[in-house]
Amino acid sequence: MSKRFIFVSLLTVAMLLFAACGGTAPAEEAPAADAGESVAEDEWGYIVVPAGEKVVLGLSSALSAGYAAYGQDMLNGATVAIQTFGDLNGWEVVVEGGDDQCEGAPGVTVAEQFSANPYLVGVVGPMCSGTAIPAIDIYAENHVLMITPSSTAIAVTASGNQNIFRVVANDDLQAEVTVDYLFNELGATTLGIVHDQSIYGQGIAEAVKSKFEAAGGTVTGFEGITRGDQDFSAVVSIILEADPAAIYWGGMDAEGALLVNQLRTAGFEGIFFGPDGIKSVPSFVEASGGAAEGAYMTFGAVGGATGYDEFLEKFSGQFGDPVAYGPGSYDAATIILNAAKAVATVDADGNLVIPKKALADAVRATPYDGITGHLEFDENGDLKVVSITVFQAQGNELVPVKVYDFGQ
Amino acid sequence: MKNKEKTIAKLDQKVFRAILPALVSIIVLSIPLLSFPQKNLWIRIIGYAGLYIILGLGLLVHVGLAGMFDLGFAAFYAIGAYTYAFLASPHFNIHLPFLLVILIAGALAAIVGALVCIPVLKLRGDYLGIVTLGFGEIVRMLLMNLTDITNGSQGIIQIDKPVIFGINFSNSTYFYYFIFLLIATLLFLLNRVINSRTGRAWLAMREDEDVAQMSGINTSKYKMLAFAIGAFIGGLGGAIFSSWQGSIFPDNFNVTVSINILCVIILGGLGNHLGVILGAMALIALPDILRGFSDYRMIIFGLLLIIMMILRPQGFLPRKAPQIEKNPCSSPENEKEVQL
Amino acid sequence: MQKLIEQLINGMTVGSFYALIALGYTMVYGVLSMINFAHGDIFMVGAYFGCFTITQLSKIGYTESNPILAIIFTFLAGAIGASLTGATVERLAYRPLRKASRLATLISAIGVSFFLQEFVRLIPRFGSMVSSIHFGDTNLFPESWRIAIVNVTQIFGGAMVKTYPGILGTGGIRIGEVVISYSRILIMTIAIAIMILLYLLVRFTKLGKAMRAVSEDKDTAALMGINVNRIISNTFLIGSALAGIAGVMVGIFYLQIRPTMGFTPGIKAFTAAVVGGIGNIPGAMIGGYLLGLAEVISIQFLPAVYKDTVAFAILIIMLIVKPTGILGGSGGKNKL
Repeated sequence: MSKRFIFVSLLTVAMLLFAACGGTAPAEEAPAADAGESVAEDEWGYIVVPAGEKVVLGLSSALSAGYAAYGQDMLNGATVAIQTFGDLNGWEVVVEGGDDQCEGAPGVTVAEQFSANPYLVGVVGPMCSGTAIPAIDIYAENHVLMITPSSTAIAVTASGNQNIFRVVANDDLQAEVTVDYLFNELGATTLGIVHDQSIYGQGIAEAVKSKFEAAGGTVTGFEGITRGDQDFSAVVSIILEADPAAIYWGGMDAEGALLVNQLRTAGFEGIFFGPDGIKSVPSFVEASGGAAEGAYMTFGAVGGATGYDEFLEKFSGQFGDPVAYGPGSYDAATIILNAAKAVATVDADGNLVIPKKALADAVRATPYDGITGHLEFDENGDLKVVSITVFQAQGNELVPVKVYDFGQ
Repeated sequence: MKNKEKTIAKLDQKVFRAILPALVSIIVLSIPLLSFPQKNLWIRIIGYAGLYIILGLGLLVHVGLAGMFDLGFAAFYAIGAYTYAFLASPHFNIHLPFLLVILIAGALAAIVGALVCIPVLKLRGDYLGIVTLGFGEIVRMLLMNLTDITNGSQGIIQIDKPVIFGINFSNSTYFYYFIFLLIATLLFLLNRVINSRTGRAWLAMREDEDVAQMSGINTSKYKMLAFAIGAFIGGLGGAIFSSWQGSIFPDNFNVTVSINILCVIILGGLGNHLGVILGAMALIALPDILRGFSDYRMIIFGLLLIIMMILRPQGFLPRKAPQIEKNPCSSPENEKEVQL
Repeated sequence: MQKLIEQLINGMTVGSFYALIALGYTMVYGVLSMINFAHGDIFMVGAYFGCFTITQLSKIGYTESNPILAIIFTFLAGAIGASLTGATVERLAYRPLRKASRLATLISAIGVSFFLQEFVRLIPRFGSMVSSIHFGDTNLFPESWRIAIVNVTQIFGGAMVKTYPGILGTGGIRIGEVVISYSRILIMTIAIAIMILLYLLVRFTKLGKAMRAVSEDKDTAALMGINVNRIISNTFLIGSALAGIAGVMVGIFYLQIRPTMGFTPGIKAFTAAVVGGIGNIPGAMIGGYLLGLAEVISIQFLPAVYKDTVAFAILIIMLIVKPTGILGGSGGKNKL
């Protein structure tokens, strides 16, 4: 027995030395230059797709369990984008969904899988901020282009990485809108806050708290619940003790629906206000058993701009109504593909070659009028011009009641 | 009739015990040297399987060697991982060297293991399983809720990459070989321990604890030793995971992970540490081999578990019952080494 | 004071779920000495059967016209669906392993658990696959069948969270200052009624006697002429039915169900069974309610997020202090 192990360990050491002396993986070398054209050295490397292979567009979102309504919606948006875009210089494009379950750990796994895919041109997503922040480390390390239509936490674009973009307003602005509407439009001066302890939920809850207090309001309670839980009776009774005029929920649809239901059952009659995470008819309004009636929410990237009607026709024909981030996902995907088309070349071996840094630079440098509005990026990857809409749940619909514009 | 049985037994012996592990080892070790599509992805997958081999070896000490049913092994994995994250990341801004920290992580896990063992010394079987399950969940929940220390569900990110003697090991290939070198070392050390007095004590305890106690074996001491050693290995694995992945979350250490590690050693046969290699490869590499079916992975996996158990419940390399000597006073050549 | 009573009622409600699921665990452990790890997923299957039924009923307006009957049908659907699933699982995945080691059955149970979760999640996919089976140009099923298959499977399962249509509303009965919602009353009543029925069954019927005999000593019971296999199947049927009923209750109470919903309640119910003494039926009932109450009381002293931690901590302390559980049980000494 011991002899075998000595053998195995010696073999391992030998392999180690061998690998150290060996060359680097072939994928990192620059591809053969196109005849007559000099391929500028791209400091981030290249995506090389041989003829006959398909270009992959990655989509990282929650495709199962609690938040799947949003995740599937994003996947559908990207699918429609590819249908509309067609092929990339003759190479077929396919979307590949990675289920990150709106959690950090699976998101990292999905990021690693996408990063290891040599035919991947870029990633739409991740859906949730809590997933995006750790995943960004991996995408940045591998210089993978990443555009998220839904991760709204400030930290997402604060890393200084040149390959990260977002096509939605950030939480600082959402909080500003929330506080303005609560205070000035609805006249609420006392606010109880419940959050789901995630980067996104707790982040925006804290932003709302500080802005509400700065405006002169009183925050009567600040409680956290655990995502995935269903019984919030403890938190409900604590937060209602102070009898606030309004309650702000920092979190997503699944828990939001349960929370508003349990609040109303407990007798709360005040205002319920939430962020973009609850803007969903199927998984918030309908799932609340009627309790969501009259609830307010903010949302960034609504559709309604250039080309939206054509998008809607294609989308609803296959998937029904878009839930929330479908249009944003469509725009993100289209931006990636447009940029790829602009910088891609075909080399002497017939491979499609996309230089990675040039790709990211093209995204930053090219303004785009998408179905969610005019999309132009600043140095951090945030949008220069953005608008946020306040919606209210009326019956089975989410009705826009006020629009706030920033950056114009 | 007898000849046929003998040949089958010999075949079973040869194929499963000797050739299969050797074959797997050779394949595994040569993967990074070949060239094939999606190579980097495969290096990561098999490297991840290697991590599970390490964890499986740790749990094997608890369950297979000392006979203690442990359903919460992920707790030690977590302790090791978070120790590394605390001591080598921007979180507390401490950046100690890799080799030092993984040893500290293992040691800390070992201490916790020994301490945890004390109150449960007299529990057996299923009850011990539940208690360890509870312990595993408590650790995970503490990690989730003591947000000031652990950052809660947001996890710890940007953990230091491994650097050994100045060489940056974060290159997948280097780390891959490091993991397997570590496995070889662990296998070697474990083999020494198994054939030592401690190993024989464990064997006796596993077969019949009451008799062992009456024979004068201090079962408490050996249980604690088993728990500590197994936990050490688990902690080591956790630290390696931490530096490899670069970010960790409480959800990386939930019950499913504990169950996965248990599956690894049960598929492998519970007795043989080489079985752990096969078990880990099967459990980790298999869902990823099945990735072509991507969305149907887990359902096929569930079915495979059931079918595997029905067809070969003793696992790939089952534990051989210790041979009873025909003549206790036989010469050294007739004495068989304890085969596990 | 009022809050305390409200919380106690909460605890009793949650305890009802745990007790019902724990009963299934304990019964199976009694006859097979096996921890059925997939029991929590049987609970989930029951919830889905119930959800399907009540969704269909509410679509045709039945829940408006006959709410009581609608609820009864929903529970029946959940119970029957779960029990059939449980019995099938026993037959296919556990019976062949009767003679194998306990860990082998454990792994098989884990496989079953994964399988059930994924199956429920993938049902719509399977539905559309089945409906589009064709030979050349002709489809296997006529058009109307195909539409029916797709619709049924779409509604039954899927990756996303499903919602029980709210039939009980948000009202309740007022006793003094305290409001007890209709759903809580419903749940506690049904749970207690079922547990009484079960107790009577086990104590006074022939089947119950046979079940107790098999729990005591399987081989001797066989020698006495009891068809052990049939008794074991029946045990699974009954235990799974209880879990299914709990599943429907959870659906009605919390409104949301998902394929992974069985996991945490499963583990907690299992610990409840152990606390009460595994293999002991009244023990499982008591264990379930104790756990529910303990969880709720702990919220008074600790931040709410530690609720689950407390449950496990109590379990551990309990087992260290009195390992055979409160009422004593048959387990814990079994070797691997």
